[in-house]
Parts: sequence; structure tokens; C-alpha cells
Amino acid sequence: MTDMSIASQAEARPGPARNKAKQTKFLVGGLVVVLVIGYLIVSSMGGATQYYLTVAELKTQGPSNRIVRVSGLVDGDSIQYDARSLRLQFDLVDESGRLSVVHYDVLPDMLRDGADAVVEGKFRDDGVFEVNPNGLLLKCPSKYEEAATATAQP
Amino acid sequence: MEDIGYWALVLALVGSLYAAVAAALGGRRRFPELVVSARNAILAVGGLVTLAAIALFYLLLTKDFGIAYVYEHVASYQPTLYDVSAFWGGLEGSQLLWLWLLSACAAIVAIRRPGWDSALRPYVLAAIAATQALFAALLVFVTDPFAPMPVPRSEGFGLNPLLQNPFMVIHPPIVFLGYAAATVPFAYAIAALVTGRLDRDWVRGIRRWNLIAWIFLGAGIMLGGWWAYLELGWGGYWGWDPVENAVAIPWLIATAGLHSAIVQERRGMFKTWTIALLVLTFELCLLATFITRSGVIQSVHAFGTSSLGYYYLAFIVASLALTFGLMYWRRGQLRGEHELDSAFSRETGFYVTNLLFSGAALAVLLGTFYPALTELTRGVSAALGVAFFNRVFGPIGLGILLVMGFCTALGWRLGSAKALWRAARIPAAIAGGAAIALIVAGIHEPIVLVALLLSVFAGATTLIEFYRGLVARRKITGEPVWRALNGLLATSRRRYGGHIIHLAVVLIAVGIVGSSFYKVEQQVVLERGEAVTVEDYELVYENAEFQVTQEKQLNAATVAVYRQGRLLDRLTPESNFHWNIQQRVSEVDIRYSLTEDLYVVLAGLEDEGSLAILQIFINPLVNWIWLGGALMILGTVVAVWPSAAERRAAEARARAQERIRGEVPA
Repeated sequence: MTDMSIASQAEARPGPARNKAKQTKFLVGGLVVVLVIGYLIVSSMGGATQYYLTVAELKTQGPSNRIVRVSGLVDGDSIQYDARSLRLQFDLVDESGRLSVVHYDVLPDMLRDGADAVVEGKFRDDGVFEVNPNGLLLKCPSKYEEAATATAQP
Repeated sequence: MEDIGYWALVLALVGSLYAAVAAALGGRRRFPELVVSARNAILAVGGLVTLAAIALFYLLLTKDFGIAYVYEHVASYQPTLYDVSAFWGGLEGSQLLWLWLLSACAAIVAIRRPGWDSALRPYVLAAIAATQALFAALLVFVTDPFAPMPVPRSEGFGLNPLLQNPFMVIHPPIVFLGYAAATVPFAYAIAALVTGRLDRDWVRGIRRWNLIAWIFLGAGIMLGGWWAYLELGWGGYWGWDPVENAVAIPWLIATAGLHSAIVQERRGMFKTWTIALLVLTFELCLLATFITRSGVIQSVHAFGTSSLGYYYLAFIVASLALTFGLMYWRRGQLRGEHELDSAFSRETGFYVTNLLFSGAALAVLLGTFYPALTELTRGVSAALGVAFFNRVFGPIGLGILLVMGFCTALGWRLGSAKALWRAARIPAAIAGGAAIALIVAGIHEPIVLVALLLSVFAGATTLIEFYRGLVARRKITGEPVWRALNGLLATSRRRYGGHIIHLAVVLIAVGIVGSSFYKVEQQVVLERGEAVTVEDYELVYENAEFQVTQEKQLNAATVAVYRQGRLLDRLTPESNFHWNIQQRVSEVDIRYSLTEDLYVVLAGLEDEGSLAILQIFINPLVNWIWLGGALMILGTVVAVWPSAAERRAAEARARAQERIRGEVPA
């Protein structure tokens, strides 16, 4: 049964020596919790860190199983989408070069020419970048004016 | 109208600057007339900002395309509802909304007769007015919502179709109301530090503001998740995107702050914790605005790069420096009146709660800013993937459930392992039984079992509290169960409000576990008339519908859903092409149930509808999350509602004041 009454102000205080030892105990306990959380954070970072690379950096490093991120603009003319096999391929372009990207998923709404994209995945041996499931991030600006190529239909 | 709006904002800036200076000076020099004039200035600012808001509403609703903001967010064919929500559909308008809601909170604080807080009031007004001045300055100098179009247009661009959803109509005002309400505890914290009145009174006095800020932030997160679930069409509700994290960070800190404040109020402990948490909640609300407005962080929802973010950053740094300076100055008074007595006491539980929630907030903050941090420190940019957040959050979430379960069973101050065991053995037995039942039912993942075990344990300790309260009350009053429950809630609203919120957390935890571990996802390409089986559903693609409107090209598919040969439902997911943004926008269709949602996305129609590409998701227990959200709001209402005793006290105070005024003519 819990006792919710406000503890009386006149409660007896334990002696200072005992108190000090107790507070140290609580401090150590708190420190343990902090260290556990800290360890949790640091250890989780290891496998989850994904470096942002430019296309040129990615190509210099060569194929690897490491998960990395590349950002760039989508080249609209290069988009190939096979609806039956759900295979999507397009080129991602940044200042340093052009990267062929494959993604086994449905065509995302926002994929179009000039879209700002970040892909998360790995650079395969055949020189194609394979995007992880849910690894294609497309920006949805709340201001569309600059992005929209055509004007609204009358 | 635009001139009225603009000049109202200019005057609001002048007024809030005056109020900040006058209130602080009046407090310092003990010059009450100056404080009264600052209070009047704050009320005037409230009126001016309301005038500016009315002006913007007027321009939006009359579709005045001569104004840039109206052109960008309104179109002649747009429904009126979205003309209204266009107010907060863009940067400039949402700034004005922030200021408007903040001014409303400021007016509520200013208009109340000073009571317990009469010594703090001048500095409270000064801190709030300074925050108002920040927003008014930004609106006047950087993001003027009343700026004209360089070239007048006859048709507007229209609101982003993704924001054309009832959830996005109410989501921003709710989040901003949370931000605005969080400003009040911040202002009181500053005032308590300046005046050195760091006892329990100020924390008790702002309890309702804390709860209101907390529930609005929480409801905002909830609605944002719900919106993402309905509108973004990826079958999930949370993706650890910076914009989502931005609101989650202050909410986590606010949660810790609520608990910490309870301990300070009851036991005079954790003073440093409470002040730091309440101030940080407000600062992190500003940081949230900074994250979404600066372009510093890569996000799926970029709001465009703007210099605005740096003004926020400057204000955050300055106000944090002020707070920590004051805290150092007042360090003597921040020492607790008591110390932790027993490891098995509720205080210890709250102590661990503070650590867990702060740790969680720190992890999200780190994960969100990691790319910017690595860029700054190492010159390379690296991000932390979703795996990071899940790995950190899983164990912390389990820890929170565990502490929640035990804390409810523990008493204040002194406790013992024996007493804890006495209180926890029945819920522990219930949880153990539930775990065995789950194993028999075929759930074998250890993490899921632990999570559900802890959820049942926390739920059981809380329900037993209700049961015990009811039994005790009925023994005395002999009321029927329903009346007794009502009476129980009426007499100790705070305690049972808290218990209801904890039950809501249990529901949400179960919903999150179910939908993250047992989600089924399948992508199919179906010919007209073809069927596919997903789990125990059979889905048949029946036909397609195409339609051209002024707004969009509508493409819809009709999918019949059968289970065991019986027609359950017909779903019609859409994949529409919107002319204004020149983009496809999916409208998912969902068959809801308490156990699972059948969620169908139309990813495309090929060959004039002879072929439909569908994504089919089965999301177990998702609705428990939304139900939990509703229960959380209910619990907060119970906790915030004035109790009968408080109402009587307020009436007595009013009568006393009346008498004083009657006897001593002013």
C-alpha cells in the first residue's frame, strides 16, 4: 500500500555520518545508470554510423559491404521502373559524378527529375549502388515553388 | 489589411520590448506602477498580435494573391478549411502562430491577480515579454507574412497536398500551443532564480502549465505520427526523422520535469533537476523550431533554408547562459531540503526516471545532430541510422516500464525490500502468468516477452491501486462501484490522473511492440480480377477509376477484402497526380480493427488499369497507440481539473479579497 501523504517536516534526520555514506551510495547508483545509458549510446553508434560520401569518394573507395549514404539529385531521364518486378533504377548526380542506383521497391511519389535524394545502402561489385529497404530518402519541401517545373493548370 | 497586420506586429515588438524592460526594472527597483504598466503592455501586445492574426486570416480567406504568403499557400479552388490551415502551412504564418499562442499564454498569466507569485510576477512578465520580442522581431525583420508579391498573380499556388489532411490542420496549432505553454514554466524558473524563492511554492503554482505543455507536445507527437501513418504511405508512424525527433526531445525532458516537480513539491528535493529540466524543455522547443527551420539537418521534411535558425540559436545560447549563471549564483538555495533515504522509496524511482528520460532525450539529440557534429569536429559527415535509435530506445523503454511498475507500488521516503515484495507480488504473479500464456500462444522472441511482461506488470500495479482505492472507499461509503470510482477520481485527481496516464503508457507500449515486431509487408502486382493472399486475408483487385479535376488527376483502385470466403470490406487506395506540385501523392486506405490494421497503398496503375501495383501491410495493434494517446489526454484532464477542495479554497480567497476591498476603499 502506498502512502501518499506529504512527509512531515519534523521528521527525524539520520546522523550526518550515516547520511553521507548513504548519499554516496545513491550517487554511485545514479552513476551506474548514467554509465549504462552512456554505454548503450556508444555501443549502438558503432554499427549504425553511416558516412556521407560523394559519388567520387564512393568510387575511389570501391565496392564494399559497408552501409554508406550518398546524397545528390535525381536525373529524371535515367529513371527506369519495372512495375512487375518492382525494380527501380536511376542515376544520382552530384558535383563529383554520377552514380547508378538500384532499389527493389515501388516507385516513390516524390521521385522525379531534380528531386533531392539521400540513398542509404552499399556499393556493389558490379558498380551499382543497391539501396537498403526504406533507404531512399526524398525531400518534401514545404515550399514547392522552386521545385515545381510547370505551373498550375488553369 | 496587410499594412494593418504589419504595423500591428511592429507595435507588438515595441510593446513587448517595453514590457520586458519595464517589468524587470519595476521588480528590481520595487516600483509596482512600472510592473502594472508592463502588464498592460503585455495585454496590449496580445491585442496587437491578435489583430495581425486576424489580418492574415482575412487575406487568406479573401484569397488576396497580391500577398506572397497567400499566393504560396492558397488557390482559388482550395476548400476553405485549407485556406484557414494555410495560416500555419508555411514558415511565416507558423511564426505568427507561435507568437499568437505565446501572447495568449502571456495574457492569461498577466491578467490573473498576483497571489502566491506576487514576488515572482515582475520577472515572469519580463521573461515572457522578452520571448515575445524575439518572435515579433523575427516577424518584422526576417519572415514578414504580409510581404507583397513582386508581380501580382491571378491564381495562387495552393497548399502542399501532403498538408491537406485534417490531421495537418490541427497538428501545428497543438504543437505550437505546447511550445507556448512551455514558455510559462521557463519564465517562472527564471523568476524563482532571480528572486531566490526556490521553495516548493513556485513548482506547485505552475503544475498546470507543466501538464498542459506536456500533453500538447505529446498530443502533437501522436497526431504527427498518425498523420505520417495515414498520409505518407509507408505503413509506419515513426521513422526517427529529425522533424519527429525535434518534438520528441522536449517532450522527453518535459516528462522528466513533471516527475521531478512532483518530488520537489512533496519533499523539497531535486531542485536543481527541476529547474534545469523545465528550462531545458523550453530551450528544446526553440531548438525544435531551429531544427525544422535552419536546414542544418537533413530531413525528409525540409522547410527551406533560412537564416531564421541562427536567431533562435543566439536566443537559446543567451537564455541558457543566463539560467546557468543564475543557478550558480543561487546554488546555496538549490540544495534539497531532504536527501534520498531508502533505495526502495518512490523518490529513488523518480531519480531513476529523471536519469532514464534525460538519457533518452540526450540519445535522440545526439542522433539528430550527429551529422552536424561529425562535420564540425572531423570534417566528414556521418549519420546514425534508424538502428541506433532502436537499439538505444529498446532498453531505455524497458527500464522506464520497469520503474513505472515498481514506482506505483512504492511509498514515499522510507521503504524496504520486504514492503516492495508485499506490494509487487500480485502484479508480478499476474505478469508471470501473462508471459506463460504468451509463450503458449506462440510468442517466443525474448525482447517481446520481456516488454510485454513489464507492460503487464506496470498495468497490474496501477489497476491494483484503483482496486484498493475502490474497496477502501466502498467500505466507508457503501457506494455502487461506478459512483465510488467517480468519487475516487474527484477526491484525488492528481493521483488517479497520473495512474490513468500510466495505463495509457502501457497501451502505447503494447501497441509499439506489436506493430514493430509483427508487421507484415508485401508488394504485389495484380491483374484485374486477380487475387492475392496475405496472412488470412484474400485481396482481389476489382477495377480502377480515373478522373481529372482542376486540382489533380485522380487514380483509384478498388480492392475487395475477403476472409475465409466472406467479403469484409472494399478498400479504395488512390494514387493521384497533383498539378500544382507536379507530383504523385498516395492516399492509402485502411481497414481498422483493434487487433490489426489492413493497410493498402496503391503504388501505381499500369496499362489503363489492367494492372495494379499494391503494397499491403498488416500492422498489428497500431490502434492501441492512438487509444493510449486518447487515454493520456483523459488522464491529463483528470489531473488538471480543479478538485473540489481547490475550488472551495479559491472561492474563499475571492470572498476574503472582496471583504478586504470592501473594508479598505482604494
